Amino acid sequence: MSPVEPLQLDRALGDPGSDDGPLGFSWAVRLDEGEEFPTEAAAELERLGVSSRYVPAHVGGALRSFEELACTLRAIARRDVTLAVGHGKTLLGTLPIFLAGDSTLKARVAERVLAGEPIALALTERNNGTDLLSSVTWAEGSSVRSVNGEKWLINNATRATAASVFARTRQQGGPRGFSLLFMDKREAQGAYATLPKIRTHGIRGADISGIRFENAPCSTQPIGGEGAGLSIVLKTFTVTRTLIANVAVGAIDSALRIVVAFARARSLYGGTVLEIPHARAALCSAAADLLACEAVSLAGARMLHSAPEEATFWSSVLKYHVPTTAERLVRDLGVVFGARHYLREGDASGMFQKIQRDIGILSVFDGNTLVNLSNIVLHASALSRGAGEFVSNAARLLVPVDEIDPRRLAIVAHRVHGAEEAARDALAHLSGRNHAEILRPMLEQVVVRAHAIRTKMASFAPRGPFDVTPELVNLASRYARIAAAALSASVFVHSAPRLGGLIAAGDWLVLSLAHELGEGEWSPGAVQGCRERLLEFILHATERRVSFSLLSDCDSGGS
Amino acid sequence: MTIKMPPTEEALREWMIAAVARLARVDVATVGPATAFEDLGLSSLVAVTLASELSDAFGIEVDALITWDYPTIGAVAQALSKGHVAGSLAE
Repeated sequence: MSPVEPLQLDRALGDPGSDDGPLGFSWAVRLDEGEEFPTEAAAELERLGVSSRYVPAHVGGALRSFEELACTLRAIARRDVTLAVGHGKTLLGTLPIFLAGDSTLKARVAERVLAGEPIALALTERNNGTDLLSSVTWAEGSSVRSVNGEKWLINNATRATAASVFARTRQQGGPRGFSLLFMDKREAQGAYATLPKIRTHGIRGADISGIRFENAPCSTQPIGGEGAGLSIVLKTFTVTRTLIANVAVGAIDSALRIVVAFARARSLYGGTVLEIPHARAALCSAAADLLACEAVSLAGARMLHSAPEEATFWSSVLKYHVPTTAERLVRDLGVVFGARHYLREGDASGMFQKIQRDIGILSVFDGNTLVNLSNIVLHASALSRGAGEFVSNAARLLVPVDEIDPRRLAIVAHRVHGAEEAARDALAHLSGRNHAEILRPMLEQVVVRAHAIRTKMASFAPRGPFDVTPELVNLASRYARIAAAALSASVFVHSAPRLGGLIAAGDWLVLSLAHELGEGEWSPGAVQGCRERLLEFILHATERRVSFSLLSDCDSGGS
Repeated sequence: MTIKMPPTEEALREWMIAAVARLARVDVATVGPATAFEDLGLSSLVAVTLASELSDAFGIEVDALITWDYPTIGAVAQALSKGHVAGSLAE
């Protein structure tokens, strides 16, 4: 069966607010309370062919574009972040193989994923966390390797039927001292034990556990060759960090929808909450930031195809910016939602507080906030080499992409076209676009600020994690935000003429840039007009029960 | 197509000693060909950025992960002077 098209998946999955089944909010909240994995919902995703989206087309799957996969994960996350993480994490275990494995292993793993089997990445250890080069799990032998050690805080360690295991293959370690081994649990029967489920703050139903190996046999050769473990993990993260941003977008879509429905219906002081100016402004601001996050998250997924050399930098920008923005938005929406934001029942079956807890994980795994900000700092020189034309193909949403070339993915990019180039590119294509006159001075300001932050960041040159000062973290986070602002403008200018509708109206961009640059300085009258139009859109989308998406007008084929 | 001669081992070594001392913020006199990047407190990711700097300084193509495969200044200089450019295809 061919899978549901990504832009139609959201509709195919139904309205989570009114659905009593496995893909509805009430089901997700109930399972979360019981810390149960969403098994039935995962089965629904299998029925719709979602797993085939994780497998590249050249080995029998339907993964042709990471932009399509991003849309898929966003639609799932709109129902339940636990489900998006629990189901989607197979990507983390299998991407190393699809990016760097040999054809036999690729075919074997493709078959397993298409059959609906979860595959894990067994990477971190209890005592080492992000310090991967201190990992002690080791493998010895040549034709059949024997693995010993324990992996901890592993998504799907228990449910998975196989895992890519990060193991020391050279005693002295170092960046070439580790390899990724495909460990098939069926071949290792009796030589491994899974660890009990770890109790978490959010995504409580997820299988986050661990696995211990004792002389566990592994008959396949290391993925990408011996010593390639660290580089393959880092390249895999470039892909998954981008996808996680799209999961965050799905989660805030639902948080906003729940609060919009409340604000319309709730009567106070003889009116509705929606009539309170602060509440209206908060909803519009959240909607604008959500759409800007969507724009950059999709562009990031496209970047994996059109500029893989630079994707390591941009994936860190997104992995920092989008989940932290999601956390802020949900906090701000909680103010409008009042006491209800704290309830585990009632409106949307108590889904809001679950989203608030669930999204906390998104800025943690696959490289936490500090790791990503450090990666941005590491690119200060690459950014200074980046003068020139921005890779605008990433910003042309829904235009078909070339197949990804994993060999072009870099760990540290040599040259990055960053915030300044993206903003200059947007300025160069601004004529004739909606709100061009308001946006021009804003984007000129983006160029100025980006330049100042980048120059300052370049003067630091840290030697390693112990040189990462609070000032540097602050600079990197400011750079990430301004880079995201620039990229969202690039998406606007390059996608507006083709896609029209909401994206071309540009109200979302004016509001999100005004917010980033500081409100009050940018034609207050025009900003107010943008607010009213965006509010109309979110009310309309709430009524139609469709996603708050820049692409919501592009899925007319759905039923 | 012009074939570029790789720079000499000595020139590469001399340049790297200065560059590594600057990156690690140590006295250049304490850095020599046998110095491992790791011993100076340079993280493996910071060491990767040396490949870009080498490429800029000498106008040659440098395998991005050369400092992982050759963990000392002397070893990198020797590999590059012999024309080493490409890493494993899988990477």
